[in-house]
Amino acid sequence: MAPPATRGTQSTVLAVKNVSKVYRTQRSEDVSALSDVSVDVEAGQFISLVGPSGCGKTTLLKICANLITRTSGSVEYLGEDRPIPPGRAGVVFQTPALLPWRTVRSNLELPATILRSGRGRDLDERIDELLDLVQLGKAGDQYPGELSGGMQQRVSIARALVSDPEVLFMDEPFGALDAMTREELNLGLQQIQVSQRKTTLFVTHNIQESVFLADRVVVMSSRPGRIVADIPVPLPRPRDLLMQTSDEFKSIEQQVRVALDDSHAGGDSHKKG
Amino acid sequence: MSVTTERAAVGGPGSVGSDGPKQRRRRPFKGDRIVDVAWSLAILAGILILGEISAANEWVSRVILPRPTDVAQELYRGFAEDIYPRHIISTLTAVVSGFLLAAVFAILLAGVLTGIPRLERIFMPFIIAFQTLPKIAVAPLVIIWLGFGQSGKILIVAVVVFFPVLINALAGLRIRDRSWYELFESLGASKMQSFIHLRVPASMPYVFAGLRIGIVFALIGSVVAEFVGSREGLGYILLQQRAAFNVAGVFAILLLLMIVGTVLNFILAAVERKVTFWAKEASRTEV
Repeated sequence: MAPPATRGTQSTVLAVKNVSKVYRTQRSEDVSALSDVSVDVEAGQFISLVGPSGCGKTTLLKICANLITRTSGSVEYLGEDRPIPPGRAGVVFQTPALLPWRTVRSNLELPATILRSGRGRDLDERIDELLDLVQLGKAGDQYPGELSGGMQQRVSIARALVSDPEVLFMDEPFGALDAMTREELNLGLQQIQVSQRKTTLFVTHNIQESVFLADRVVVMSSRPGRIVADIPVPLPRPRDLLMQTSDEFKSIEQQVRVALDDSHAGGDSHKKG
Repeated sequence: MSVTTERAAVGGPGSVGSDGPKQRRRRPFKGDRIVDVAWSLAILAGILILGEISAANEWVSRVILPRPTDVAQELYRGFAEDIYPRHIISTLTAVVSGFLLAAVFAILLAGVLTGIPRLERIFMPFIIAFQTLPKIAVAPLVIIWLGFGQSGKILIVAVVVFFPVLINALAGLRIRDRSWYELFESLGASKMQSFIHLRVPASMPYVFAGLRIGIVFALIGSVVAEFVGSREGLGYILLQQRAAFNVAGVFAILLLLMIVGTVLNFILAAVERKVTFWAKEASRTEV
């Protein structure tokens, strides 16, 4: 349970170095999804990855989470080129990916079962804590099918936190939700970030969301995916929704938007106007 | 073969997530249901009365359609003289044991084949070849092998039940949801762990779709086995009644078969609801 903060704010948890990814299509044409991408992720830092759809941001996230292979480059975890051990990383997917035959509580027990880490009272308490954290204290005995989409995604966030991972990977977790639910979950996630300080990589195509949640917004361009801007978000935490109307917030949002537009301008400027 | 349509009726797991909590099954009002049952009973009574009148007036020859009361009398006589129970039990044991035997083996084989993809590739052509064979045509051969006893019947039932269950179990054990796969991958799950915690439970709606087809096939298999070679069972006495031109007797036995089939289906549906309560679409379809 050692908080990452003890390691000092400057320690790099994840170092992505010159990573490229080339897909081979079924007609054996090579498609470059990522080209020479480098990012450092500091301990406890929340990084948003924004970019147009198809820019390879999900690919980058999944390479970091060791769910797909890279073509070249390296991803260093705590200074060594090795995959993050299971249990040290939690992943939240675009869909909640809950097992519908298990209750919410039992879904949260799954990581412990698979990782063969201790069960028993410690786990029970941890699950109670997490259910409270995602504001589902009373839903433990319900089945996923009985919950709304937003609630299901909250369960899946709790599941990613069960093993108390060092790093959290979130792949457009709120993309399928309506705007209201999305804001609510953003606020919740922001509170989780304040209390847990997890090193987080968060993929989204929503600019406002990316700024609201992050310490840094990394902007990507499409085909091949490259990093075009790395914008710090020095807004104080905890943040509330009203902050989104502040000038400071809007100016950062503006920077992200400009970076995104610039990246577009190279390829298809004729689309604008 | 109805396998494909059955499979289509089973909802994939991908649907979980988008729909809200109000998606629970809507039941019609209780009053409506009573009226519906009343209608069903009224139609049944109408058919019986019409049959009775038509027989009395000889609109249709009694060799084609017997009087309902004659059928009832046959039923009564069959039980009173203790003829039916022995044959019902014979058919029922063949159906149930053949069904269970086939189900267990089919599910185990599906497990092994999906666990070792190479094996599945090697065996798939054989499975497809047998799948296209009308399995019931094997019945005379089995009678040659095993004779007129109960074991031949059980084997015939098992052969017809085996394939629909196997094909559906194979489809069900495949992981269809990419994020489920990635979730287990991210947790470093072993093959065995994803088999036990993901593939097997996720396959249940598919397996039960196969079992529902299987239970219908099982009864067909048993009756055909009794037609081609047996000295016991409902199929056997059905042929006897036909030989005696006792049409009312034939109808009585058809009625018994209907009841046996309905009861078996009912039991299976109850088990299915217990196991696959979480799959919204699956449990609604009936064979």
